[in-house]
Amino acid sequence: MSGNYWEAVIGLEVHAQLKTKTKTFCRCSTQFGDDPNSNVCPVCLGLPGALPVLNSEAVAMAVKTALAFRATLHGQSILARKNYFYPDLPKGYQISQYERPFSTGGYVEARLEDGTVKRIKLIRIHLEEDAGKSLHTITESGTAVDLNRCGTPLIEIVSEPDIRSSAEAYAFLYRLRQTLLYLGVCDGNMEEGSLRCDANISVRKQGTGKFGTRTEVKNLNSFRGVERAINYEVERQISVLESGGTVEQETLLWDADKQVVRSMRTKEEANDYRYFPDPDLLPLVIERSWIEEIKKSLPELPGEREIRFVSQYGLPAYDANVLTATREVADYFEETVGFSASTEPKKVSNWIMSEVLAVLSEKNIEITRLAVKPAQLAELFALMNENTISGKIAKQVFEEMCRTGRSAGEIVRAKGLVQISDEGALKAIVERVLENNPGQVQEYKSGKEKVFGFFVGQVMKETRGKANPQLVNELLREALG
Amino acid sequence: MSDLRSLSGVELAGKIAAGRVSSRETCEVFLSAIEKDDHNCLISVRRAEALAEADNVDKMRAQGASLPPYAGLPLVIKDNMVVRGEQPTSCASKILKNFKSPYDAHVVEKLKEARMIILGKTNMDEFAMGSSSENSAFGPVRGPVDPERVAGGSSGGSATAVALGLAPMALGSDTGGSIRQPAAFCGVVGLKPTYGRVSRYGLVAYGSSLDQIGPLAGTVEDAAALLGIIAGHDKRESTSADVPVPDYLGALDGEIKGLRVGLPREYFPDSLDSRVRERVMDQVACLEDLGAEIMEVSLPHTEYAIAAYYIIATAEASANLARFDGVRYGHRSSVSGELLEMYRRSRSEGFGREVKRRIMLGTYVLSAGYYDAYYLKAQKVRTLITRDFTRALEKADVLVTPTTPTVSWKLGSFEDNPVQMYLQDIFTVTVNLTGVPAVSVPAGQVDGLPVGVQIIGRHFDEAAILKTARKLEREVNR
Amino acid sequence: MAVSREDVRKIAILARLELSEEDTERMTRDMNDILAYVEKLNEVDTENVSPHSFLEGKKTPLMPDEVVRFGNLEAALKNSPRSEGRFFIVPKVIE
Repeated sequence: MSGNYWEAVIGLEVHAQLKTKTKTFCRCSTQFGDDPNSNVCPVCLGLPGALPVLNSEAVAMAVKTALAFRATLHGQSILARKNYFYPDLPKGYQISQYERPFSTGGYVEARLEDGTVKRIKLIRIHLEEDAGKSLHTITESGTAVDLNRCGTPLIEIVSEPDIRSSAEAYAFLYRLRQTLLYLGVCDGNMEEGSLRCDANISVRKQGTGKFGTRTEVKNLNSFRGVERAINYEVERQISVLESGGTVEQETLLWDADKQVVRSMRTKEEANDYRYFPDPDLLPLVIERSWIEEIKKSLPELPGEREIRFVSQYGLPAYDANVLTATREVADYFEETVGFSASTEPKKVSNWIMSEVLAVLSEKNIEITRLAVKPAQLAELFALMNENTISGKIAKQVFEEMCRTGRSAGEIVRAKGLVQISDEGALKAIVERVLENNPGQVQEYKSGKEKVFGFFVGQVMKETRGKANPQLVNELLREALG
Repeated sequence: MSDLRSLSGVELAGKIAAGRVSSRETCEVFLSAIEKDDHNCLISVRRAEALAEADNVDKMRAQGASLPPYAGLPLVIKDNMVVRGEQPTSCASKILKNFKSPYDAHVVEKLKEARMIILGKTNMDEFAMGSSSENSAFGPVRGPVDPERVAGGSSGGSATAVALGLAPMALGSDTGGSIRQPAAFCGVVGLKPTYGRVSRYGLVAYGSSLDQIGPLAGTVEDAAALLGIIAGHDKRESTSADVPVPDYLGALDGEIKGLRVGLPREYFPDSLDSRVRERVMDQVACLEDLGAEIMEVSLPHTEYAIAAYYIIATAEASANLARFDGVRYGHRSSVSGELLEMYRRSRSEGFGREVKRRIMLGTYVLSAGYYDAYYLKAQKVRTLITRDFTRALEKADVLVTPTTPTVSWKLGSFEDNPVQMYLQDIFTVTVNLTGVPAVSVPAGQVDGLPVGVQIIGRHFDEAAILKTARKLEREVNR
Repeated sequence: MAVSREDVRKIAILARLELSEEDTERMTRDMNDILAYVEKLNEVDTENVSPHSFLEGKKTPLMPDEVVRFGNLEAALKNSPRSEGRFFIVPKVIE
């Protein structure tokens, strides 16, 4: 950050929307994008007399998350009312957890740029319900309130102030989000708001144990936004302190347009939330047996999978990292490799990292939507292994596979792309090429190595690219002496 | 046909079931009485809907359909239970004057399943906050015996309607005594079930850990019948008890001999009006004559109950009433302004004085720095009160006490003195704090005004208090 | 005096109530009377007494994650004091 003198002390509060089908305390759909106020009922509208009943899947997903981050699960926790007024908070309170959250502790293993892993501890994870949406700019006549989202389950993940830089924050968020996606509990979309992050930032002189005054920065809508906001605010605080001023404890907003951190325009009164246990609910009890059941359903987590890819498949760390970025790509890789013992993992890895990811990016699709399934890719590799086609031809075939969904075998047969590996036939072509290009032969013999490529090109041209390149190389070298 | 109004609910239901009178005729008799009455018991009447429902029952009966036992029997319910349709559910508040609920409360669904006919919504203290039914945006309820006196509260409208024969039975709600105290003041039977016995889904919440819906009626049998209809588990309510509903009617004539009756000494202080004491002791004597074993017990933390109650109830209420903000329904101030102003004006215009008082108190006792000293402290005292009851109800099967320390008072008596009013609840609030069931039965009169005797039982032992109440009803000369 | 007039003003804002000067005066008096009364609780020794005994041994029921559409939405939304299309409209909030 800024020289050796100052140290940034950062804690992140992340809200993740859980992918349940229904809301936390009522059976309304959590479907995104429906007409405003169409997925609502007396409970999430806060009508008189309505009462909450907890969604078991929300609890299951919350427990799953806590287990993945090695948090301590509490068999009994309390749901509490957090009281404040806002138009998209229909009951005038949010049901959340306060003194007794369902989990405390745990950690996120953030991989930093230099490859080292920093364990960032968590203070707690708790369950709560989301508010609705207040839209300030869609009509002149006021703020428009849509309660479709109101009541959707959230987990709030609070880190210890262990983070020391925006890069660490990025790495923390990256791993957190990646894990949530691996678990299938959240779709991690910061732009759409299914993953939200607030940062608590303070600075202090290196070596002091005391914490400086911290500010809370909200409205961080992207990973980059988090990085930039942290950088900005840390610099701002440092310059305030260096010029002899004091940092005010306040809540600030990140303005993504202006790329600055600014005060909120309305003075936010110190919010006294008056937490108390919600008398409409009983304690949240999570039995040991349920925890064990959920534990069994945990997928292999990204960090572990990455390590296994190195040891099991002999992949370099870089490849393992890229392939395990998402569960779907990692699954795809393993499935492809799993089809045949002769498929070389490194080759598949290369293929996925280059060909496959390029197609996904170009078509803007997820790997699960790719027309080429692992079985089909495995077949393509089998054809390469058998020398039926060359790597170059394989790329063309792959392109066609992506486009048409047809199998490798079909395409090779239909287009007559079977590689020419007949030594006799190739030898004849090689001799013909050399005969027809005496000048270049002379050049080569006089030391111009580069001309070799020309000969290869000519053979390929004659064979329409189907000649086995290794064989061509061997035969040319033989013929040229 | 006016003798229909002198029949008990069970008797009337029997007549209707036997085809001796139609549901429609029955409803019309009561509706006519309601229309002529000037005690201000009802806030709204659903005449057209009720008669249509009655006609439907009559039609089904004519076609030989098999109908539940109380089909076609009318009743009234307190206006803090939502009923779906064109009639508002107001909670006697300006803020909900025009609120039309899109859904029925659980108890309303049960009544509809039983094919009972809801004639209208009764007047009450606004949001159930009060002990007199004077705090209503629609004017006070006038007591049935002396219209210059209060009907009790907050279910005063329901109690008065039953006392005057405007309906054979009614539903009320009880958070600190709001069914039992008006029952005592009006000379009728009023029962607060065990917390969790009847679903609160659709009951506009006041003190969530204290509220219960219960029956008011002219006879114990009617109260038992109505309780049997509304009791039972509801998946939509997290504090609803999953406990089977016994046959309350069947248990009514259970044996009293050997029943251990406890008299908590703290409920018979020296300061208790001696005439009230006499009326209650007459009841006790009667039980003794029938073979009950009378003993003294102690509930030592009784004197702290009102303080604990008013902290817990107002704290919960302050949060429960936060949803009344003028955003999605209810009164919104016509004075334009910013959001903060909209909230403050709408709520201030919409809520009455007592409601505001309780919201303020509740907000305060939960606020930063005061939570431990007030809210948490009150909950701890609640634990001690509960322990008292558990111990006493190990020695005794039921407890008997006066329902209230006095008879009904003149309208306006406690206008400027909230604390004095709160102190009148001394014998009833403990029951809500501990969640046990209790019933008030008429126990004669003092100065021509009704007095009630309260019978308290163990959790889910409504059968014991009902059989005791039944014996008193049968045996004691009024 | 547990609460001053200024305290009462602040609580009124927290509770989103607006009290006239006269009402504030009255409310201050009432609240102090009530709070003076509830001071009584301090006479009780509650050391080691749980405030949550009510909840002991109880477990909040859980519902399955299955959609149930509320069938009477139009009636619910009809209660809105101010709407535009399907939105509830409130005075504009500036952040």
